[in-house]
Amino acid sequence: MKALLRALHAELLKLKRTLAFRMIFVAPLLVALLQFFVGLNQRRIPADFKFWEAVFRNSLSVWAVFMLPLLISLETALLTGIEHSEKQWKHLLALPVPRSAIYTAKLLIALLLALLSTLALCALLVLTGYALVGLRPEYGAASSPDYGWLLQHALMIWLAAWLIIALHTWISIRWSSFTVALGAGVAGTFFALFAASARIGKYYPWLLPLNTVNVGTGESRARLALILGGIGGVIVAVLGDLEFVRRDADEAGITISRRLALLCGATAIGLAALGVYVQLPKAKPALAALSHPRAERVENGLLSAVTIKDVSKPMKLANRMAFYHVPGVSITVINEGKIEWAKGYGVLEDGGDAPVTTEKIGKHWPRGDTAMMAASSKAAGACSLKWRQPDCGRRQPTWRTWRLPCGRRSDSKRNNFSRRNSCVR
Amino acid sequence: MQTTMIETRALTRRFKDRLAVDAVNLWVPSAGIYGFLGPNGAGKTTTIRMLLGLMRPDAGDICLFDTPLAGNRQGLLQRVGALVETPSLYPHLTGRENLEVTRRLLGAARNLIDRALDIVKLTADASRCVREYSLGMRQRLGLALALLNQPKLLILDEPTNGLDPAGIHEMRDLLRRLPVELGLTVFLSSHLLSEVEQIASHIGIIHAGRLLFQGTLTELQAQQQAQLTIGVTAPERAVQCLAKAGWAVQQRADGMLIVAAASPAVSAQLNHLLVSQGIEVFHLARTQLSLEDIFLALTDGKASERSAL
Repeated sequence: MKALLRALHAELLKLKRTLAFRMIFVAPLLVALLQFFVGLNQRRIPADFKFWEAVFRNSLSVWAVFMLPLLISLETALLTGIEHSEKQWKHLLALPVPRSAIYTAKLLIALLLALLSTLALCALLVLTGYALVGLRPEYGAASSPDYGWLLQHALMIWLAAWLIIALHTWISIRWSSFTVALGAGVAGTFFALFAASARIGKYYPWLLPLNTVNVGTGESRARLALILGGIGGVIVAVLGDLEFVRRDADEAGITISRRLALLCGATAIGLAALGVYVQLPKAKPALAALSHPRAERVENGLLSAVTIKDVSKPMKLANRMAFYHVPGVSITVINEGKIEWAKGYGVLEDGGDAPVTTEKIGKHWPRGDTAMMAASSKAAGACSLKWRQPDCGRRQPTWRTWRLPCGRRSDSKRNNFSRRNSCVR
Repeated sequence: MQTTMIETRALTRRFKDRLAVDAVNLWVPSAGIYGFLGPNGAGKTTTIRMLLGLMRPDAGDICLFDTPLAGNRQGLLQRVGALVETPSLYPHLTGRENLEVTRRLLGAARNLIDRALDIVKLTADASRCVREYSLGMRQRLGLALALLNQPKLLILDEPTNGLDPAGIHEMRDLLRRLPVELGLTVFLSSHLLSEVEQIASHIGIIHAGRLLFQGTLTELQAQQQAQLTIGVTAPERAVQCLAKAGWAVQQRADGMLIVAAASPAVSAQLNHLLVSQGIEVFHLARTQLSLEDIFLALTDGKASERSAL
């Protein structure tokens, strides 16, 4: 413990005259300036506009998702860069000081700088807010600053960032290259943009700070972010420390090109896999529905507009498409507000080879060369669909109406979908 | 009084399939300067890194101050100062601040900084940024860092590497003073024998990971005796004549004869023998091999021996 305090004391002296120290003020200043100009140029101000909440929330969000993660990767790279560049490890580690004290001190300094920077942002935001109120008095009328909210959320962002601070500290001590340290930060932040809308966003380390402050993500997400960020940070810190203590000192931060290449390769593969994974949830409903048993019944059990009991035979979708010269069809079945299954048939363009998918049809269907059917699975059996040809006289024919008499003719009960198609367009 | 500062037994370290240090048994007595010599890549730095606990040996033991390093690293390093390769300095800090960083880490007394600056004569430049320091000043500050905690043993890896002649001279004077004034033992590595032979009392020669020689300078010189170069009018006959008398003779390409192990008395005796046989002697010179020659002979010889294998 004494050794750790000494190491911290030494670390503080090393910060003198460094860029690392100046950056903790520059980064929040950039965010505050951005907020200032956004506020200055905002045109419409709603009557119930909560000015202070907007200032705090917007800026903290920008800080949490973008500036803080980048600042962390820069800070840790700078903090360890002063050891790497002059080959300090061989001196530091030959001193009668426990290695874990040296590692932990670095980590604590990184945590401290992130905290200072976040608090500096809070102070700057309050100043920015008052400056804006001074310049545009209409802002000041509706609300007053909630300092408690600001401080609480700033601290939550910081706590949720522990995980990436611990990760970056380890990465930047392990590899002497500035590129590796910053690259990891940029890649992490970049993919946060994709992960934000996906399910993985709840767990993605670089999104945890944002999850504590974002509107609409809910309390549970914020709580999860605090738990993952805090506990994950401690776990990564302990693992990184163990790794640092165990290895030979000259391996600390030496650049081995082969290792670097391996790292880059692994990162690229990991990120690509992540990208695919992130895209998957969106495509999932369509993919999952492809094999739905009811699809087959529609494909093979179409009935004409007028059906005569025991005379009309069910028709195949493929035959009907050929008969009407329809190159592509997409079918989506919505049951109780949820897509039950969806499937594309044929091609997007006549003569082309791009297949209709459940996503792609949407762009093309107003052109009239596609047909859309909707059926409710409430109706028993295959649906009878009423086709209405597009208005062929116009260049861009549109579907005016479509109706969906469900079930047998005798079934007079009409489904919701048989109404006007406004809900579909 | 401590007698053994460093002792290693069968110290071995392997890099992939290359033996960097091969069963080295160092023995460094207290007080004085031990010169650890070897060409580049001989295993000097690897040995030093293992002595400081920066690298783990694959096999063998290290004892500092008669105590095993394994398990006692922190306690032992308290009494060791080290300067490995280039000095580890923070260029954005002043000389004094650089010492202060290490002082804080060690929890040492404040006055030690002035003492260390005084020893290396950097007091006047202590408040300048290290960025502005010359290479020689950096090296001295590195030495001050090593001396800060009042060590009993100073381990220096190539302390004069990259210095200009004036810097080398300065460093040499400084190193020579240390054992006398501060009573500490200096273990220093170098690839230049000329540098070490002027200050070292003990020498260890390492080549391709193996310790080829260890002992005092006089012992090293005794290993290789002087040789006698003889110029005669009839070399072939002279060779026969000397061989008959029991001397090992080599004939050089220029016709000169070389006889090893020649004291002044032997020189006179050989001269007399040749002249009495009617062979005219026109050149007779005794040459003492310089340490450089011995060093080269040792390392080259072993190298060719190895490549022959």
